[in-house]
Amino acid sequence: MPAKKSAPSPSDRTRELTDAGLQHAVLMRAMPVLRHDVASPLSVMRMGTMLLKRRLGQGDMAPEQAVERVEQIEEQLAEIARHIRRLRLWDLQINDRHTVQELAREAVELARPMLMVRGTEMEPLAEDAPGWEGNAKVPHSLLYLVLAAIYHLAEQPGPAPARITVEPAGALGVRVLAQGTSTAPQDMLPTPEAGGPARPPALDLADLLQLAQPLGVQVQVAGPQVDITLPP
Amino acid sequence: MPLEILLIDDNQDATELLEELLSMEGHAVRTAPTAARALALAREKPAQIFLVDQNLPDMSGSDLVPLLRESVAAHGAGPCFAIAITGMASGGVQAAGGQMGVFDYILGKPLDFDAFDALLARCAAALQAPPAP
Repeated sequence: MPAKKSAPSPSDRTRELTDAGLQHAVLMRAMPVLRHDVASPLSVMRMGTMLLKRRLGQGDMAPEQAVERVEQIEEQLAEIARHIRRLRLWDLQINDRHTVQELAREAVELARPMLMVRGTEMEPLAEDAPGWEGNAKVPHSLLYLVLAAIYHLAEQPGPAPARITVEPAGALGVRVLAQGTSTAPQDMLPTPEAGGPARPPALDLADLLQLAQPLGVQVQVAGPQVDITLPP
Repeated sequence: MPLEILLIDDNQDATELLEELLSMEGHAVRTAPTAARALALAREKPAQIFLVDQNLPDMSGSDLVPLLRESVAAHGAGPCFAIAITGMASGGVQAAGGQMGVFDYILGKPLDFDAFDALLARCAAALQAPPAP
């Protein structure tokens, strides 16, 4: 007989709602990039189908040219499928596990475009970036913590950092480090859309600790550096 | 009215398709994969419409647009329109504001062709209109 699951206590419920709110705050920041990554190939697909329709309608397209266009559309479809699979990382009903390196790389991919717009450089992480243990898998929700650490450093009051790096800290740890001061003018910060919600509040140390709790990892913040240490 | 269009985007597939679609409608289209190339082309010959991807490899679209407008002014050419094409925005045609305020319009991806065609027609009409006294 399966064990009966007891109802969550009010304090558990409050904590779960706090966790969900923090995860949403991270997702809000990543959402424009997630949307862009799906919208771009979709846009190319739409142009490809429009071109096919117009050319075929005019009767001035050779079959081999049409096949070439269809192949181009198929490539974009594969790209969209890849980006939709990436959305699994945001589904808390799914308990996927990934290597720390995979999650750190994804965090950089998601944070980088918006940081670049704000004048903060961020280098993509190479697939074979050395330093992390290759096979150890951790819950996918580590992604939220690494992203939160990046946003925490990027959104400090005052000038934006010149660059933010994500690197190994031990075999399983992640270090997020902000360096220098961006020379980009402050008005480069995107302004919230008129009538829309204000920019979400900055993520502070307490938020990072809260995100770390369900993962059982340690977070240390020292100035422009956040160290995330996973249990051995 | 055929328009002189400069399309600036580092996505080769998107550029190639949009160039062909616009050419089919009779517009004169030049393309550039980088801001540097776009500036060189604009200084060679002005354009009436700049279609600019916001995320270019060597400069942001919003930094590039004022330079493109300067090149048009240096030629003593008439008005021009700068239209952003970006996946970061959503929906059809939007008025530009904030950091994107250097653009006249913002088009979200995926591109809505009805909205895009209507916008080009609106730009063409404005370019044909006699200057205000």
